[in-house]
Amino acid sequence: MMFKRLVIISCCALGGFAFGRWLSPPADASAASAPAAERRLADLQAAAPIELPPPERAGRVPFVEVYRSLRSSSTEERIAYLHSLQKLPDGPDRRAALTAFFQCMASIDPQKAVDLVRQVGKDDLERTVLAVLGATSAAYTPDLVKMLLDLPDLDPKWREEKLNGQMFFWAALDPAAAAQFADEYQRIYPDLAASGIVQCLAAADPAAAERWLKEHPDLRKKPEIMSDYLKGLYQDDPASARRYLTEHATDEAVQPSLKGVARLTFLSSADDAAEFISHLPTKEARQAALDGILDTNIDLFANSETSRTALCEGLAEWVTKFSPDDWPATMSRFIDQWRELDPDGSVSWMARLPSPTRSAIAVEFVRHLAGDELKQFLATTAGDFRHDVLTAVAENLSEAPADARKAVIEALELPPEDAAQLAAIVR
Amino acid sequence: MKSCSNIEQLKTRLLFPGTAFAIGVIAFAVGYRTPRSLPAVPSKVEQAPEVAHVSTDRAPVVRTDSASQRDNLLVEGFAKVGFAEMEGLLTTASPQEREQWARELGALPNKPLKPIALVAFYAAWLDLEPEEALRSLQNFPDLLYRVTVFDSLGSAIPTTLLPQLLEVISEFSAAERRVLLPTFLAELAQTDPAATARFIDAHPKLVSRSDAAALMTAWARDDIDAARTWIEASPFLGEPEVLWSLVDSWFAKDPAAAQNYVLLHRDNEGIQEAVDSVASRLFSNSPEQAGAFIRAFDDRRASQILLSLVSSVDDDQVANLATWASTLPSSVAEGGLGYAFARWSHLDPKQALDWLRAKPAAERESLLVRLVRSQATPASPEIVSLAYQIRDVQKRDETLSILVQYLTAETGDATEQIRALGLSVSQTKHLLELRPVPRE
Repeated sequence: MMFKRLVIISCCALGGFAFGRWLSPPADASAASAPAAERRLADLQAAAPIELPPPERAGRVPFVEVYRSLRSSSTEERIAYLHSLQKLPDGPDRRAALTAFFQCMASIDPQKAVDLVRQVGKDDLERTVLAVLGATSAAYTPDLVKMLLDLPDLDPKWREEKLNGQMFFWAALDPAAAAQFADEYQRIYPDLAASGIVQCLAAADPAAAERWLKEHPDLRKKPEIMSDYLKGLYQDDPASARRYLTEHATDEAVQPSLKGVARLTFLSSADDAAEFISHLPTKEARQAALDGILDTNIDLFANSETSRTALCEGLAEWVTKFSPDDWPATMSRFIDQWRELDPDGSVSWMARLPSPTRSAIAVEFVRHLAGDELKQFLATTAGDFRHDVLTAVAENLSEAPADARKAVIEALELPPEDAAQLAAIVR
Repeated sequence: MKSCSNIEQLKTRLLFPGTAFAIGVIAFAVGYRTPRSLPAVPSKVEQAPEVAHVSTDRAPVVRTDSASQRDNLLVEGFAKVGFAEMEGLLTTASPQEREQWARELGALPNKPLKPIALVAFYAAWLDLEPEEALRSLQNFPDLLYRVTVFDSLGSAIPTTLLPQLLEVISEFSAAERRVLLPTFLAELAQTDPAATARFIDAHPKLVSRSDAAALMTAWARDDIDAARTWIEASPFLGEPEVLWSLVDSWFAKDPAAAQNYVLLHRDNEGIQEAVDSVASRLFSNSPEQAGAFIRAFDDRRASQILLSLVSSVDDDQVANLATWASTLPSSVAEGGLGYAFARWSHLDPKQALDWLRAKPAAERESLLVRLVRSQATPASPEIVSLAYQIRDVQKRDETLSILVQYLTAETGDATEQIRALGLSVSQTKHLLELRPVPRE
């Protein structure tokens, strides 16, 4: 009796357990109910040691494979793996493998990556340094700067170039510390990353940038330094940068910055740009600013709603609101590029302009037209616009020798009255 | 009492089934797995990235005092965190969140940290979710920063992604392509030359001969047969810069084969720069071999090669070059030797003159005549003095006349310069007589 009861109780226990397990959701389904992303992170964090790919495949497999494998490897395993990569014959696989290894190591532990770079031979040094510089978070820039300074076998020019690049990152994160460091190395690397430092200082603390420039008076004479100073100033306060430029527009070192600031201002507010340019004190300064605007890479702004030709027309329309005296020398090249893009649109736009502007633009337009192009262009003009164009042609010919002038006029095969008009104007 | 005994009976009757039921319930509870009983997934709070390991006053990526950190994420902080934190954020976010961060990064004000944050974000995204990141890069969130960011991504991302990134760049504006394509193609050529060649073939209007040259530099060193097969079917075959790169790189690995190649193609248009490169490398290793190589060409081409050598050789090799050129047949050496000697005289006048003076008289005279005929040798007092030592009167006067012509050509009238040479009265008089008669 007792045994029978024990058997029944055991059956109940087993049945209950089995029923419970049967009713419970499977493990995978439970995980699926958690956010998929969190499950992925859990998977990543629970990384069991993963086998490293064969050395010759290290640069051919997805980043995460090498990254996870190296992350789960010991220091000794990593060193052994690096040595196996270094034993590969010189060639694409070896280069790709070394790059992948150091990019992954820089992502796992920048300091360890830096330490391992020291184990690399001279031939591989630049490749591995580049991989570490490229893949290391900016937060570790001071370590990278130290690495660049310490590595003995780097080409001095290459080292300085990379130092300048890294110093910019440092300056962006901590301009004061970067400036102090650069000052300490002034004797070895004069003006190290001065452009980046002054830009970042100006963007973060214009007064500090101004003080720094006072401490380094020679830098104020360098256009590239002042250009970055003004870039930083603009990033902090565009109006302040424009004010500075207006006040210093005649300084040789400052004038080249007019282009960039004018373009950035134009891209954010055409009205602000117009006001800025109209307040510039000299014709040369206004020309430089308008040149910067005409030099805008319009391809960046063309889309399904706004075509490149519409952008050209908009730019031309905007710039021609200024006096022709303020137009930059690049105006004719701009018009020429627009004509190549849209011959009919550009010409009909010119024909619609009010008289004085039309005459001025005709001069710019014909400046670079070759004989056949000029002939074709003249065939599309009429009335006052045709007269403007003929006048512009005459202006271009006025300094040519008489023989050459005659030859050009003949080659245009103009109707007699036009030829006579042209000859009369030239005379 | 009866009721008590009934209760006892009931207890006895129910005890066993009740016990069995209770055990069954307990067993059910043990068997049933609740989600809570699974290994705990780290909560968002536990995943909070550690951001304070640089001594900067940087803003964190997330505010840790917030319950929902990703909702309060400050994308500018991407510039300041390590890869592990980026990985944590990117792998726990949804594709929509990642895309949203890209847009927020694009909308950041223009400050120095913006491009750094963009590069850090996209580099990590490309590492972890390459297909998705590449799709996002096609619609880069701030076009004004596109060149800067792509330029930095080149060395930050796995080389396996370079072909896809190149395809993205090929859709950019011409100005951006001009900046980015050469760098990316040169890097890809180092790690996957065949893929580089495929890109060049597929986008003939986007690439330049410099891109093909960079490919040849890498490929000829790694796999000359593949490089040759490609260039011979390519429109860049006649480009001097491309052929030069092929041969120069090939020579570093197999000088004899590279030498044979240029000799075999000596009549090809565009091969001259490669020929000059071989001659220069041969000269550095073995002037004898360089001489044999030059003599494989006709005199006109051989003279051109020598002239190219004279202009390209380093300063410390000029003396060797002049000495070596003096051993070449005069039909080849005349022009080149004169320029080599002139360069040597400019670098070290005493050494050059001593070399000339040390030659036996017959050889020196012949050499001097050739040097002066090349019209590159300076008309210095020492050279004039040596010219006066030429024993053959006709050759001497001819040589001196050429020297006087140099002096005349410099100022229009050589009188003062001849007097300044410090020669004897009779020699001065003689030279003055050799001056060209002015035209009426």
